[in-house]
Amino acid sequence: MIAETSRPHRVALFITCLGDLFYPQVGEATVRLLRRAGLTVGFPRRQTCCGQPAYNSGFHHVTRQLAEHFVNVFDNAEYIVTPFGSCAALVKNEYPHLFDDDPKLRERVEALGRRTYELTSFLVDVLGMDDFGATFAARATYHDGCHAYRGLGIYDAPRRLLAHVRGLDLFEMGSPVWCCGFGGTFSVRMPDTSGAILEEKIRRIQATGADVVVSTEFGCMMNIAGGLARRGLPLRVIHLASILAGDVR
Amino acid sequence: MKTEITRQELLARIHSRLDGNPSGPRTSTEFPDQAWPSQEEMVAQFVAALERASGRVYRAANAGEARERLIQVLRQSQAQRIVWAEGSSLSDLALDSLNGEFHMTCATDLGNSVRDVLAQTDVGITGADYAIAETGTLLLCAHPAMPRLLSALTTVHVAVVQVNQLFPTFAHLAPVVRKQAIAVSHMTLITGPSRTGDIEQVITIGAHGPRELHVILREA
Amino acid sequence: MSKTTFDERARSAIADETLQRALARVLNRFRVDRDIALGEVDTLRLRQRAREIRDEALSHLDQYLAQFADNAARNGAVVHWAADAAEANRIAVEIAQSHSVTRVTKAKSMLTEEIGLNHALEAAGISVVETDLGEWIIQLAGQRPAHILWPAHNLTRTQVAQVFARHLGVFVPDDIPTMTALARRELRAKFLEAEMGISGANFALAETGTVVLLTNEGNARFVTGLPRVYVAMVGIEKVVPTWQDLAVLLTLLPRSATGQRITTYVNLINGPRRVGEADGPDKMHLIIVDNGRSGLLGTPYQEALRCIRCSACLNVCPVYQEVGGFTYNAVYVGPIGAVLTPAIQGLARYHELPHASSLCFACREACPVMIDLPRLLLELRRQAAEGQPSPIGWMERLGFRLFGWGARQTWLYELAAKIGRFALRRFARDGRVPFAPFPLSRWTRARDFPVLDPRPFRERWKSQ
Repeated sequence: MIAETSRPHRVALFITCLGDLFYPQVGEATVRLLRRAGLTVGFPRRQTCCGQPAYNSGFHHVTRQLAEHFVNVFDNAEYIVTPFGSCAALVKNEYPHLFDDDPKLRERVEALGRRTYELTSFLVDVLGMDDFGATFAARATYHDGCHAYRGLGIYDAPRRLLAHVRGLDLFEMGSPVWCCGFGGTFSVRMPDTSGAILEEKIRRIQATGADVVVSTEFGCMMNIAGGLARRGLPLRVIHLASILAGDVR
Repeated sequence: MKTEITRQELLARIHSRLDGNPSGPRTSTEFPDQAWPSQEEMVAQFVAALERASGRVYRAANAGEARERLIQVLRQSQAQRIVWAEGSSLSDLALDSLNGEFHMTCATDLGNSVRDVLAQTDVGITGADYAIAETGTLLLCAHPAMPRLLSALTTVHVAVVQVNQLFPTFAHLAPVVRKQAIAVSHMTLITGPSRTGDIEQVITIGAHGPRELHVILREA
Repeated sequence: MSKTTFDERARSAIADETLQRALARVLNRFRVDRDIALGEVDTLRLRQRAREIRDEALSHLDQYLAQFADNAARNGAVVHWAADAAEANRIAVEIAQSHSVTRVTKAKSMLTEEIGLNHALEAAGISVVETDLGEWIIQLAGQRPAHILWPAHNLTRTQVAQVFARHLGVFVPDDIPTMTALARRELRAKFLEAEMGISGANFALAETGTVVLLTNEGNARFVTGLPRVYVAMVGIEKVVPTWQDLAVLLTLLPRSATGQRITTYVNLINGPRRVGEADGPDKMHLIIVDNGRSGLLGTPYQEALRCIRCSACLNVCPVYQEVGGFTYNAVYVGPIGAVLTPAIQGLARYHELPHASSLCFACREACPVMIDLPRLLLELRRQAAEGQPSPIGWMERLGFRLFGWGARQTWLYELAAKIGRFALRRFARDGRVPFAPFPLSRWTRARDFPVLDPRPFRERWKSQ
């Protein structure tokens, strides 16, 4: 938690490409939450994609180009916040490895990574806020994205936020935290394998008896929502920010 | 010689690939936990751990109780042929005198037919060189008086061990084992009867080694 | 080269209900047992020590190998060196022939599976019997190992009984204790008649030239102790510097693998029998085998050689859980197999394996020697994509190049999004896309695709 004097004032929103195109309402909810926390929110318009598909496919030189673009777009920002964990993980954990040949640039990238946050960890660990006065009567379960959970060590922050949502009952899927099968390009390279892992995930979701799946990972959300729709199951998949911002009833 | 050249070549290849590839500093060569629990704690640990591994453990205050317990185990096993090996924890049990009730042979009397006899032996009785409390383990070292197969080929293995042979963990025992490794050709750590889980991962006691392990733990 | 893709093989594995039940049974149980056993010790600290110990051995591998070999020779073992599989097999056959051996028993060695030792011996007229129960069953059935530790886990008890009936000519009820007793009888006879025993090694202790073998069944004691000739086949990476180091690894390996604190037996072998000892092999041979491992030294993949073959990574892997071992079509399977196989045998043949992962990091979390498997998988993917020649198709490489260029011009990115949205609209039904053409068809095989929002965030921002 940061003392009042060094509390953030301005953050830049990193919406991510899939967030921009498929979950813009999550972006809007994120902006409202950050403003409610007393912050000024900027949106550097030139942002596009962090390069995760290219990175996971082994095209690191392409990813490096996108990383340089990212640095140019966001370098002036005091804080960069994204509602989607895997992109934060890429910037923080992987970007530096792309610049092993350029120590100075690598330092800049590392510093940028330190200023980049996934939303729930920003709200709880940096701002020290876990209650946004939200109400959402629902039986819910929380899906941890693997990059957020194992890549960034995020586990408590989203749960603390959910604990303060009035009317929401959380039913955990239990340990271990289990992949949903998205894995980025894995979902299209190995659709049957990915689909089987998704099947197992949906079984675990159903076993909780929840009506709502909460997550902070666009890839997982697309994957799980798509799987539920394919099976005709009425569960909703909702981003945590939308709940906190009061966008869902 | 073909082998010699390959050794030089191989080691040279390895060396050249490692050149300029420094390893990280070794923090410490000491194992984390160096404290010694009390003997009573070690006994309790040993008993619990070995029983968890499906071994049977009996405590005996002295030679007399140990002998009584041994007779009990032998009767229960309905053994036809028993072979025993000399060892310090067995020497005062007067095993020779059991020859009336049971068919007992000393291992040193087996001559050349060690394997064949042991393959037909129901119970093997040995001492142990050391024991490990944490895991309920016995350490048996190769010995002129004790064939290694005595604790392996027989259906039942009975080991008589002294409480003062207990070490807390393998790490504590390591310096001793290192010395033994130079002295003898073979050592075995034994923790319970043999087992397998290879079919449907259902644990079955009694695979290729002994079906039962009985340990008589002597205070004195 | 396999004619089927990983995902195609996966499809049949996923549809195989018997296999699926077997996988669920194995993996759930051993995950729980492992957690309990590791909960008893200071796991993080031990793993850090274990990593250091393995790194120490690897970064001075030539020294420790020489020390191991010299000490083993001092103990009376005859030491041989084999650069590759062919050489290792030739040496093994020569040893057998020089001792007039026709019957061999074998225990505990994935290395011998890797080099195809059994075929080489049999081609020379020497019979080989596997003695680990699971290995024996699959040897009878002519099946490859399905898992590093439980090679026959995919077979039900009924199927095992059928194997015995078909290949042994012995009819037993499919009751597990009965079948285990059958194995004990059958293999006991083999143990006693064998003239030579061959084992692998879990660890090769440099300090005293000791071969370390962990088993629960007790078969290693017979393979290494009964025949007059004993051969230990050891991969170069198995070396461990000291007994104190072994203590750390002995604490972690059984717990990571099966949740046991220690395996029932740990054999510590210091050469053939010595003068005065009551029994033991007259002759011991040690074959130290490279077979591509040295090629990983000095590369990012060196850390994969830390592996102590505990199989924890398999047991926590969501991919392995769904598809089992055969899908990998390799000797080493699961996350470690997906790294070692292409790293040693080449990406040209195995470029698919590094992609058989959703990069969930569970394996990295589970590995007792802290191998960063996901990083190695990513590095292999990079090598495949960016290496010359690349096994990746030109379309994909061009596609990502264009993507990299296009995503740096914001206007182009926005235009592409508009086109994509328009194109997808044709396939939308009730706010989702149940089917779309290639490449999205690969997604829609397993689940619906969402529609692109008509107003992306950057358009909405203008009105914020």
